[in-house]
Amino acid sequence: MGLKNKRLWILGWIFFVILFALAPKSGLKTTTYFFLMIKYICLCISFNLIAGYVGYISFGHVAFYGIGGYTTALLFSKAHLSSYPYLCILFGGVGGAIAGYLLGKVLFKLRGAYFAIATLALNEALKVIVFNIPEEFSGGTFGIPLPALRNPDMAYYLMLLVTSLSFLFILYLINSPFGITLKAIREDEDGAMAIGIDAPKYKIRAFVISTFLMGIAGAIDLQFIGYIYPEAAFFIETNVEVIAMTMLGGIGTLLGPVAGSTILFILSDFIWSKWPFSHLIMLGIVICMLVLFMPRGIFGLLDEKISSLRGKIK
Amino acid sequence: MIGGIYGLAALGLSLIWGVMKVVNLAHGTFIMLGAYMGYGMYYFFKINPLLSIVFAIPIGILSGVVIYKYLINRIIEASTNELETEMMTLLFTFGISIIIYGSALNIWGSDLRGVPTLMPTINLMGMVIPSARFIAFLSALILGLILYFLLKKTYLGKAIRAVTQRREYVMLNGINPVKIFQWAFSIGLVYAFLAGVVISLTYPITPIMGVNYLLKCFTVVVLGGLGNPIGAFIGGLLLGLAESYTTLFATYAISPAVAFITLILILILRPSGILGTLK
Repeated sequence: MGLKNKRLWILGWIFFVILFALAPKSGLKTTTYFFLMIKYICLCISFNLIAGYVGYISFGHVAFYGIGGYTTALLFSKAHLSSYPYLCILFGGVGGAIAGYLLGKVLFKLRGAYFAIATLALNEALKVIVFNIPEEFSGGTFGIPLPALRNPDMAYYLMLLVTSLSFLFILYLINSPFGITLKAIREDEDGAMAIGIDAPKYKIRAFVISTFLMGIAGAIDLQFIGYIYPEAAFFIETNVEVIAMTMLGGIGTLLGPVAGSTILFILSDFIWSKWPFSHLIMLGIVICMLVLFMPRGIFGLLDEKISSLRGKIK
Repeated sequence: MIGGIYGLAALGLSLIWGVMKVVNLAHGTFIMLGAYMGYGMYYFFKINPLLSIVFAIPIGILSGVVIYKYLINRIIEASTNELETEMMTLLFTFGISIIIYGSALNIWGSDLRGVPTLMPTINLMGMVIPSARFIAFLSALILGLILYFLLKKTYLGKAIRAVTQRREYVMLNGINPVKIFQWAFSIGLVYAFLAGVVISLTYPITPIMGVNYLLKCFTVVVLGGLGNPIGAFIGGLLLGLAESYTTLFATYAISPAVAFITLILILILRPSGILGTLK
């Protein structure tokens, strides 16, 4: 995906944002459908930043989504900030980013499979811990109902704003020196260190950006639903979906997460409504098939085809 | 007691990981399948779940050969470097585990099931132990010893260990490493099924148990060091002790978190495990 036509990108972006902004006009059902779609796009963009541009596959990224949601919920209900809901949501993202910074310092000492397992374990551990905190504090198993925070329409616009801005941000980021450094780390971390790139610092910076997005998505989701409980906040299936979606579109491509999440969301929503639980089988099959036949996803494949065509023309 | 079962559950994972550097994220779901096998044995024929070992072994070997030969080997050959192999097999086994988990939810539903423990308790040096748990521990120990002798004494075991150390020399001696990997993978899966059967003796069964056992197995493997059956058992016992003491001093509910926190701590402080042999 070359970036020669920046104006075209921006025009397409404006078109889609306006298209999505019309959704709340047609009732809560449509809003929910499109809200979830945008939420998955946002999560995939966040996941792709780490998996695609730094090359670390996190199987527990949804942990930061939960952290963001819980930070907001606790601030809103316990810290007397209930008159500033948007501040709480912002702090949800900040909470995710702080957790990302602290945990990233530890997690990025690991590589490859060890990193994947550690993130998976982190998510499960957080879920169990939140389950067992006394109920007066975090709601325990029951979670925290926050009817005062609930505002689906505003949450929809907020999510649209965050997602579209994060897309623009990534568009800017991948061609900036920072993005190029990340790609260098992905290709050869030891090589990058050898030429004087402080790889841990860059990895943690990217992780903080990614976890901020994750956290704020969790916080906005809380505003949309008005209720949070551990089983949903640290839901492992969300991570399965995010991995499958990003892989379908193409890990490490700009449009991949957006397209992959849109396609798979429509498909899995359809299957889920017809045969509950079967969407999981479908997601598993999609992941396996992609690994076997199309490891670079739709846009990775397109990229290859286009460059080989260009080579033939020349 | 539970330590021995953790040790058995981790053996298969440890073998596959240690020998071919493939992290099998589907290990937990295979344990879950084994547990359902044991449960089915009790449910349909009203006999001891341990007898389903007879089915577990051929099914494990068959699925291992099919998955390795036709799927995982393709991925390993298609990828260009070590990191890519690791990532792609990781994602692939993750996909397999999701397929099995989704199917299990569809077929059996998310209810908690279990084999009623009708066997009496026994008194062993002043400790009162439910005999089902004792039998589970004993069979875990026996199965672990079988694997140990399989690796140390038989031709296949020696070949597996040789491939782990020097792949090229093994090929020079006329052994096909793909075949050896295939067998090692099959044995790994068989041990996952066996662990499931043993678990079904004493513990409740639900489709979601896969993730929990997977992470506990990782903890055990990382504690004991890769590809080391004795290490796996020591790791299993340590984890069992740690969980029991948390149950004693705090609440039972928090004990799953112990495994995960131990896992993260060990990964960071001592990635080669407590025994720390295989790098």
